[in-house]
Amino acid sequence: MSRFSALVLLMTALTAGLPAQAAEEEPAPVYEIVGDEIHSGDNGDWIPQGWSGEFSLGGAGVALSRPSFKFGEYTGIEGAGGYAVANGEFRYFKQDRTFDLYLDNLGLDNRKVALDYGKMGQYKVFGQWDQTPHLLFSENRTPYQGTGGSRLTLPASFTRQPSFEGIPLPASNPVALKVDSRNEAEVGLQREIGRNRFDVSFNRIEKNGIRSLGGTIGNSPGNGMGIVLPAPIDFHTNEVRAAFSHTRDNAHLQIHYFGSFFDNRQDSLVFDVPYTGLLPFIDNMNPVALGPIPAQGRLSLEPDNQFHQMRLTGAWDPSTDTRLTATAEYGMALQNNTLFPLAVGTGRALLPRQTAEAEIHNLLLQLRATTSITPRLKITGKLRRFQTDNRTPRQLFQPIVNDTGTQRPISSDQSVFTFPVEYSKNQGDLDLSYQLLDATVLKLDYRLLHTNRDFRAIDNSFENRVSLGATSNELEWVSVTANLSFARTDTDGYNFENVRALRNTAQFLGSPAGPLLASPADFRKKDLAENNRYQTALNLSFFPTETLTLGLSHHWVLQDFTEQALGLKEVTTHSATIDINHTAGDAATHYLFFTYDVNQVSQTGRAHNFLAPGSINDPNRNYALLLDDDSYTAGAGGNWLLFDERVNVRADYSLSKNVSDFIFNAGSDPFVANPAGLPTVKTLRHRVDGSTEYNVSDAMAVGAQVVYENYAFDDFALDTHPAGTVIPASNFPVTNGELITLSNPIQDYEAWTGMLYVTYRFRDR
Amino acid sequence: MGSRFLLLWVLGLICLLPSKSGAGSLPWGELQADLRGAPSIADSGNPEDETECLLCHKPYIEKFSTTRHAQVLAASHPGKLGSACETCHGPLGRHLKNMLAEKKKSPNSVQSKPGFVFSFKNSPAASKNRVCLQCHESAERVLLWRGSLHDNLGISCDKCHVVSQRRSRQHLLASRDPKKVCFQCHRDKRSKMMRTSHMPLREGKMTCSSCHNPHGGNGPNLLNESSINLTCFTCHQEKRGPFVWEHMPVRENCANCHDPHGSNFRPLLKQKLPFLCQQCHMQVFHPGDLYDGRKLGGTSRLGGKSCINCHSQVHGSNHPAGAKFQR
Repeated sequence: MSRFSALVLLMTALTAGLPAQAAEEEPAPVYEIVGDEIHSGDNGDWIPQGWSGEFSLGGAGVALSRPSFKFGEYTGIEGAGGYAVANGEFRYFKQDRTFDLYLDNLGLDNRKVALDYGKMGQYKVFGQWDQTPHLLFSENRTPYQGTGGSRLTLPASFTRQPSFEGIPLPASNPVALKVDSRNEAEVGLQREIGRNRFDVSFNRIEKNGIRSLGGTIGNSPGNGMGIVLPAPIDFHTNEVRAAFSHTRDNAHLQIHYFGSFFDNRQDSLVFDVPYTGLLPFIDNMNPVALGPIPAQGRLSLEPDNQFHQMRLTGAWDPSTDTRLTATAEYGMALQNNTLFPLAVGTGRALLPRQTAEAEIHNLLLQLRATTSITPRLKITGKLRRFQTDNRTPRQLFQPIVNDTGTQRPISSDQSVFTFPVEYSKNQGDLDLSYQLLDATVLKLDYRLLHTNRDFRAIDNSFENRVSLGATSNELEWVSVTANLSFARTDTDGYNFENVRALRNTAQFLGSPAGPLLASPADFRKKDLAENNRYQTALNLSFFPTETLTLGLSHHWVLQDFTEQALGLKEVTTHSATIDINHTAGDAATHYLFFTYDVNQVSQTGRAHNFLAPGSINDPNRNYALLLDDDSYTAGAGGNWLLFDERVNVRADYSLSKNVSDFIFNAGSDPFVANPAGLPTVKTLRHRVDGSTEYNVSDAMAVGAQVVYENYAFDDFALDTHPAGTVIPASNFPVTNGELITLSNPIQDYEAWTGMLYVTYRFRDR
Repeated sequence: MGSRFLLLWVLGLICLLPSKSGAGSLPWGELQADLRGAPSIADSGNPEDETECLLCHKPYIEKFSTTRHAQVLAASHPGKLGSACETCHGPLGRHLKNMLAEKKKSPNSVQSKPGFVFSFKNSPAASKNRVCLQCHESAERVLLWRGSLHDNLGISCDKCHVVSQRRSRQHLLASRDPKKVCFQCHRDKRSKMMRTSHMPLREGKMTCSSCHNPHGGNGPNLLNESSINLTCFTCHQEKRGPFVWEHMPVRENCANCHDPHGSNFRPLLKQKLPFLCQQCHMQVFHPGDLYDGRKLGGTSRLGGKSCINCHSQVHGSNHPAGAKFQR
């Protein structure tokens, strides 16, 4: 802390030595009437020219009750310590030239620098550098060497075991899971020539760090053994944007190109398998077989890809009350990485093709027309088509399960097809907007959305939506926005067997194993199923006095899936907010808000397996889960200018509390009967932020800020399994394998941050 | 279906062609009652003394003068403040004539309100917006404003933008913090962003406009891009693929599983795992099993990363043996 104090003193001394600019109050305008003319006596120089802006320098110290990545999740502050405060904005304007430079958080890992320079109406050049860290987990442990690379090895001293349950893992190393930084740099140019404008920009994004990725060996119903791996993040993306715009009095045309080139420098992760022995695995339709656990496994990481997009947008105003806009957009996502062998350590001769040849094209056509039929009635029509065209070859691949099993040629009974999934959405909208009074608008919308999907259990779905809305600012003391909508999604029939038929060969489906691997016939996937969706929204703002605003809002959404017996049944969300804002001129502002959110998800399932014949149709094996997720969010604070605006005091408090309960009900079958709830998932976060700034002069201010934050998080999935331990195998319904963890529970913390800084403001005339 | 849609598209365009063309200058006389009969700017006489506006409006103009709008208008009307003011407030000739008469009666008066000027205080949203659209309708992000959700709801530009003083670094937003502009109405999103799993909006590294175009975009829900996934891929390029093995609902819509505004379940999930996966997967054995409190601590399907402990390539796999997203 002594270095920190010295830094603050140095900053203060340096800044105090800067010349303070005394800005006298401008004299009141002087009128002079000569004949019929008024003269203001002003020289016409009404706009300040030259430099203006401010910069702040200082230091901050952080005290944490214990290190927790959640405290510095996006700022990069990993523990107690200090950092420099350095922010600034420098603006220049002279006649038609502008220059802006913005500096943010230079002393932290989430720093940003942005600048632009231009001549108005002619050109602008700009650039920025933006850094964003993302801490993912702290206090992680792994037995592996070589973290951050594409090859994870176990030390020679590591003894492989058939199971580590009850056996301490030797030599577990600490490893930090985080995106060290997401660096984005951008440069660009805008050029205007008459009615034409050219834009071009280039940006490069680099993401480096380590994340967690599940690595598994074996497969259900055998002992799927697993270990969570530290996987590299080594992403590099170059992007180009170019646009040409032409504007006429009543028309506008723009052509836009976007190219994105993603390069992952680590295309796979090969890891030593910590387990040894024999492992049962299922080889698709074959009975369970025993095989040796392989020495290594390989995960594919995200492949390199390219995306090219051309967009043509046109707008035409045939009259002052009518506007037509049209957009045509064509995009291509391409990926052609060399494919890995089916199992680590083998060749690629048995692959049906050597490279991915993956290609998805997308097309958007959109036409919108809006016109005022009468001065008060406006009608808007929209036709829209968005489609994807997946040109990736559909081929049979031999299923080698997690590097176990024997690599064999493609066979008609054991292989599965890839799905080059694609879809299209055709949409028609008709909106009527009627200006009832000067500041009251009523709105009626109708939408028809037809979605067509390939390789899904439903080919076509149709959504009909009607919504009513109103906005009124008619009365001085109240402003109202209300919306009510209903949407119904119908389908042309659900048939999951179609998908299985496309996925598998006829020989497999005709085998004894085929029907056993199906889902219950009365189950629906949530993104496809028929449903009703009701939605209301109400926002009220009252203005009892000129300085006070009282806001009330309520949002409610109910989506029910009444036609299905199993799957998602109902989702309900409520959000109610009260807001109070008070402004007493520039001297004081106060605010208070409270939001109560409820999110309830009801879903059902059936615990079936082929060890109990007929269980797939047995309602006694049904169970229901209700997620009751309540959130309480509050904030309060104010800003006060005191002592003739010499002192600026600010205080903010925020609270976020989330409570998620999981409540089960089940049928009478002993397999599911008498279920027990899961522990509540909870978050509680308080934050108090107070600051004081003293204006030493018009040009200089000194400030102090104190932030207190208290965070607590409970999650049963993490809390029961600390880093580097083993989640034991379960014998329900049959043994499933154990898992070696990597990440620790999320650490609760209390944090104090103190900050001292000096701000210098400047302004030429 | 595709050809029928295209036909409708073209027919729609033809049917909506009006009989006259040419938007011309802004008809100020139609925007506000006391401006009826006012000429367009092109036909009006400019104020004789270009500093006359300062006589009464100096405090306002001083605040305005620090904005980018002021700089643009000063550059395009050098030395002509009155002309700059007319750009948004309409022809000032009658306003000044009236004021001159008032001043002659009472030279020290600054309280008189001569009228005959377009005011943003009490005008309908559509009128205010037309003033702004004079210059901004050809801007890329405003091109699709008319007929957009916010336009049809009667939202005026000055609900989100304050042109009279510099409150934000860019875009003349009503608040220095861009999120707070949206939170005026979208209060439920403010609370979602306070959840434990959130994108870096609280930390100022993103804004709502990183994904949405409030003026009307090509995508659903006022998104910048033409689909939800294309919007997500602008930052998450690694998820773009395409992959040899596609996870079907992932390819169509990231929001099937994620709530981008914030969640109590990491990472931004709509439901806790494994229950989120069970909304679509109910096959034999472990996808369909009941994972209740009795199994806590004894199965990796409830602990750690849950389903993702093994099916780690849930966004798509490029491994030839990745059919079940384990490779």
